[in-house]
Amino acid sequence: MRRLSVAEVHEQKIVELGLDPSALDLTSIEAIAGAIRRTASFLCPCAAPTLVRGVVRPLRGLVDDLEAVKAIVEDTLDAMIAHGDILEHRDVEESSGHKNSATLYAAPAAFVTRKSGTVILLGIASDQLSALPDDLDARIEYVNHLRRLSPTPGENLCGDLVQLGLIELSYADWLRMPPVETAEQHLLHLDHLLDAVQPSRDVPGLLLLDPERPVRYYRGRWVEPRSQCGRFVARRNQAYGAQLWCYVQMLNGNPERLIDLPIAKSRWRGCDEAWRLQIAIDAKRGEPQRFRVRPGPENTRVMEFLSPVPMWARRRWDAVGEPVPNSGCLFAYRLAETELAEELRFAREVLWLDELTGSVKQP
Amino acid sequence: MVMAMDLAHWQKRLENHFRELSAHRRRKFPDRRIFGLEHGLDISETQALTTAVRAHIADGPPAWDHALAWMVYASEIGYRYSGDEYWQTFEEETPGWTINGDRYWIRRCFLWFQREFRGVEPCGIWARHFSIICWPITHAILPTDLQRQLAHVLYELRHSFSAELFESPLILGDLIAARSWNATSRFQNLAQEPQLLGQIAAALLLQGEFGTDSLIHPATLRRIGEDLDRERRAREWLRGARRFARERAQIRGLGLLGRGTKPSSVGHPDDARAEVAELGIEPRLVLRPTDSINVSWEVSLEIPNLSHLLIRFPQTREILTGSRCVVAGAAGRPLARGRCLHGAQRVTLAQWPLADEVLLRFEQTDSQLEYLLRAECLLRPGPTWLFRIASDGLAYECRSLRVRPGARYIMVSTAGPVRSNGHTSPIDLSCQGVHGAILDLPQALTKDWEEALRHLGLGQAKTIEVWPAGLSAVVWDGEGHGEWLASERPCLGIRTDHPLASLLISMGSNAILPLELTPVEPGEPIFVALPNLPVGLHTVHVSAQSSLAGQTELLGDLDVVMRIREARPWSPGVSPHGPLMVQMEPSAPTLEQFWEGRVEITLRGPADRNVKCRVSLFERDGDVSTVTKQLPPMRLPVTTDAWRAHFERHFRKTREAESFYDTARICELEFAADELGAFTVRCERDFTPLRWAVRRRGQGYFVRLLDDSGADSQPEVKRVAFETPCVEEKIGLASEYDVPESGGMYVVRMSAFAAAVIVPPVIRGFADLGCVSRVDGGTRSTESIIRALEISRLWGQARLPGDFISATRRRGVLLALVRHVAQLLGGDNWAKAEIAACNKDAGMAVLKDAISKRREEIAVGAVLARDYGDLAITTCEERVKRIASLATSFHLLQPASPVSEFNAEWLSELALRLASDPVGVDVWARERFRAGLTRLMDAPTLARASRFLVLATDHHLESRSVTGELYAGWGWT
Repeated sequence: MRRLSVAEVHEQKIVELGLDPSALDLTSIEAIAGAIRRTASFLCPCAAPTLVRGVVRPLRGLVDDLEAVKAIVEDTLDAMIAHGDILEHRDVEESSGHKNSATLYAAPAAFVTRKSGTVILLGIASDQLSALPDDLDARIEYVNHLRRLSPTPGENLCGDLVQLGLIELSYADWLRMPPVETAEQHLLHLDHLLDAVQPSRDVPGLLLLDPERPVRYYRGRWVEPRSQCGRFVARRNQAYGAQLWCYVQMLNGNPERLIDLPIAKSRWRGCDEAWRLQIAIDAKRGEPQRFRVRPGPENTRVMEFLSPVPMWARRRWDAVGEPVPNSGCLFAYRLAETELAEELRFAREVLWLDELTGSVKQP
Repeated sequence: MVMAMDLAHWQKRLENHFRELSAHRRRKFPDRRIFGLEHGLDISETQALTTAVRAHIADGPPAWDHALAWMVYASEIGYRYSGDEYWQTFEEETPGWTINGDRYWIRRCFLWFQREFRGVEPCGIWARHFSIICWPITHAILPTDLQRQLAHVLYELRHSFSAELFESPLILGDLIAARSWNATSRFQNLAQEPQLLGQIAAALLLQGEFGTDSLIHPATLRRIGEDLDRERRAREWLRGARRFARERAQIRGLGLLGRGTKPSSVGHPDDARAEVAELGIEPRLVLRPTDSINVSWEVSLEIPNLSHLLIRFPQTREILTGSRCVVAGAAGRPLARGRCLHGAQRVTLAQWPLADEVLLRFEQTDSQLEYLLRAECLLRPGPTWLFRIASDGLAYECRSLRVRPGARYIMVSTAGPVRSNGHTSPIDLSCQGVHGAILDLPQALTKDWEEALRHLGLGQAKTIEVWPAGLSAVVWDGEGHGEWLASERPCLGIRTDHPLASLLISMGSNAILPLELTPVEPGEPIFVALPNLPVGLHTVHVSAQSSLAGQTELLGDLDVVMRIREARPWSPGVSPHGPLMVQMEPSAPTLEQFWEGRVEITLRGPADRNVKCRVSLFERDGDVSTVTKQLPPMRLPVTTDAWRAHFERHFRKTREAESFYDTARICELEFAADELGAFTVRCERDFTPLRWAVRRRGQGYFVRLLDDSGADSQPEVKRVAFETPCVEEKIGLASEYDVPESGGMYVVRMSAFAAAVIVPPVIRGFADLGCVSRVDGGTRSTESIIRALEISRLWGQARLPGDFISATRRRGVLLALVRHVAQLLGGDNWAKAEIAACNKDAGMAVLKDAISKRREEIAVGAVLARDYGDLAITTCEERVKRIASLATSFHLLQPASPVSEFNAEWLSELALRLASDPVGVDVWARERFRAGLTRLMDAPTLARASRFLVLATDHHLESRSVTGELYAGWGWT
């Protein structure tokens, strides 16, 4: 038994996470992602705040600004859900009676093979940090929330992982996305669904995503109902767990019609559908959501995004690029120059985003 | 290249080797025996010996002078054995054996080896039942198909290793046996010999180091290790377990033979209770809001994983794995068998449990288990309970009635509404027997608040705050109780809200010196690393001291209770933390159970997501499958009935499946739901000492009798026709029987063993499909009913071949038998009414009128005729309650003596089971079976009402019964 300094606690716990204490501390994204995986292996299924609390509370006294770290933990958790380490679904426990609650589950240990042969590791092993033996574990490359493993010459890495019991997910399945359509088509589809529902009554805890507010500052776009008219992406309270996403028609600040997102039988999360819908709304208004591109090191470019995008888009960039620390944006990915043209096309045609040119200041 | 030697030379060489090995082992370990597989021959020598044996037997019978060569030869086949037909393999690989050989002779070779060389003697139930093949399989040490399972269990147990454990193979073996509760039946057989299992495990782990060089012959040990290396996962498990074993074999006093891991018996009650307390099986109450304004809440009980209990108290295994668990206050069905061993469960409570009510009760509990559960599975003493509302919106039970400023709590009381002027807000709890209120504490408590807390019986939490630092504990209650993994080194953060002269941290162990921290600034966190702690319960004692005028004064103290547990090794498949949940009962079904719909399987997961299933049949382990079929995807959730219908339609009834089922020994089902998860179920043929195999020959069939009992007595074989299912015709003993075109059931009996198989008729035309089974009358007596039920059980449990006609014919026989039982219980007039009801459109009305003509009972039929539509869509349990309430209301039961063991509900369930599915009723009723039947004979109206409800439900559900049901809607669990 001995007393530890703050630095020593960081070091000891980083080692327990299987990371390099000379390069990382407990506030690094890699360590936070590791702590989330570890905590999820004990706590899942659970609500997102439970998992965030499980990671943040042990950091008391170890970091200067616990609230700032909490925000990083939340962002990292979002990225991991999008990536597939953690799965978000409505509560599947039949006895709970809370089928609308968004619940987090530990994804089973799995992997996806990139075209280059590099493997992206996914999922969580109960009580363990890794489902891999020590020799493979030591070769994992941690990049923010990603875990990658490259084959050595002559090695049948996929075969070995399958023999170890990991699930092999096909690259195409993992990157599956909704059918490509225009923003107008998408909006029309959702509007038809909203037209078809019965009028709603009072909706407790409604928050609207205001299209009139600047598209470049996502968090600042949420407002309470006042006298708005029209159709909005919104969130509303429920008995337990995170707020529900919805598409709502307002008249003088009162909800008239409402559909919950995700729509029935969708495989995407409510937020994925809501974010995509908002991108469509903004694009149709002629105020498309933006991203920007800046030069990166060694023949790379960095795409920076100012608003959230659906998980299938982030997965794609997890696969073709790598996440980099974000500064003045919501998230960013570094891509090889050779990949850029294709990803710009994807962002414009599939996500209806527009590239921002020139220097931009964050509001 | 090994020079060819005759068997006499091999015999000589083996004799020298085994004598030396035996003497050496006796010197080192007087209580350890030697195995046939420890022959010391390399691969080419073993091959040469095999060739010599085969050459010899081809020409004539085996000679006693070659007993050791034969013993080694048989052990080598045992080493490759994977649960299939040992003698079939033996005969196929040994041309001439069927003519010249004798399996009893092989046993004599092993017996001689055991006496002469101190060879191992098989023991346990398995060895008694398979009295010949147990020898070569035991002497094979660790057949290849069991190696992987042992590696997995050893990896699971790695944190429990110690020098003392390796010196005590019996305890190590017991520990492995306890941990392997969900392993295959073959592994369970191995675990019946804990002494040998411990010896094998210690040798594999320590590989000759630490004085274990003589446990197993080095070459044999190397060979097993190399075979284990072939499969990557097994290799990694064993490697991980060995690393721990080497570290810990040098350390004494880890406490692992005492309080840590040693399987215990329920010896001294206080000791047992203390051990149970260490296991962390105390259920926890959790409140969850059911509206968005936090006024309505539901109460649930979180039940922890009980597998630790099973490991510490192996004698509880049968109940924990084979009995359903009733949760006190829960409204739904009991938890499925074994469910509490697969991770934590959360169950909603409709009624607050009583103060002395054990929260978990197993249907077939015994007094010892109940005593153990009583130690930890009671509510904390009331009448007030405190719950802290966490950031996830749920309220978790606190261990004490102490609150912290700035936090939100719910107070729950059984003593009436919680009231405190303006300080609490009442809430609705969807749980009868309790009241609740929310307390929203301000950051600083005013005098009013302090007074209110005192009035409510609450105190303020200590000023010393402790938390797991850096990374979370596995479990942490926020105050001082937590759970950590043995693989991690716990680190605690400590903070006080006022200055202290010193803080003394101790662990009550001489081996761990106390740590004194001085001085301590208020609000300043202090971090303390604890040493690696062994599995078990530990207490960290934190004492706060002030120094006033040179005097040291104890200001207060806090105990942090730390439970250290082993990490569970990761295994592929679904986990309780993932979104795909699978429940299967029994957890390791046999192929027959699976095929005949006697397995309950449910899959839950995100609604409407697809789950795919691929089914494969294998004749032998490791072979290519004989048939593999990808079934169409199913949508989640999948119920047992939906699965059975899907499997039947898309696989079981297909021509390929019917063709290959009879020769199949293994059925593998691979379920996959993309990123949600995947899992594999493997069902193997039930391996009993006496069994039948069905094979086709041209248009017809023949059956083969397989006798692995090794018993000296001769089995008795009988044939039963479908038309006369109660009449057994004795036939002579043979190894094979050509089955007549009419098919039928073949039964073999020998001492305690019996086996039956149903063979279908040859279908040449439409007329061959029909069959009427006749069951002769018999007098109305308990004995007659018992006889009919015995026959039902024989037919119901007979092995079915793959074709569908056999199942149909068996169903016809069982329906005839259940009608017969109904006649014996309900009387001849009732039997006539059943026949009349078949031929009339208004059949239900005819039956309703036949329930009773007595004026005071006539309404029973009317009530049931009115309600059966509603009852048809409820559960069997609900129907039992309804019949029981009718039995009570209409006085259908004769007055029982005050000490009668039968109540209306139990007798109603007995009546309904007899009327719907008589197979296995005796097992359900256990010791009350005979007396219960006698009691029911005195209540014929109850029997008729029950039978009516069975037939009416079937009628309402249009007789759409699923596999395993005689009548639609009557699948008992």
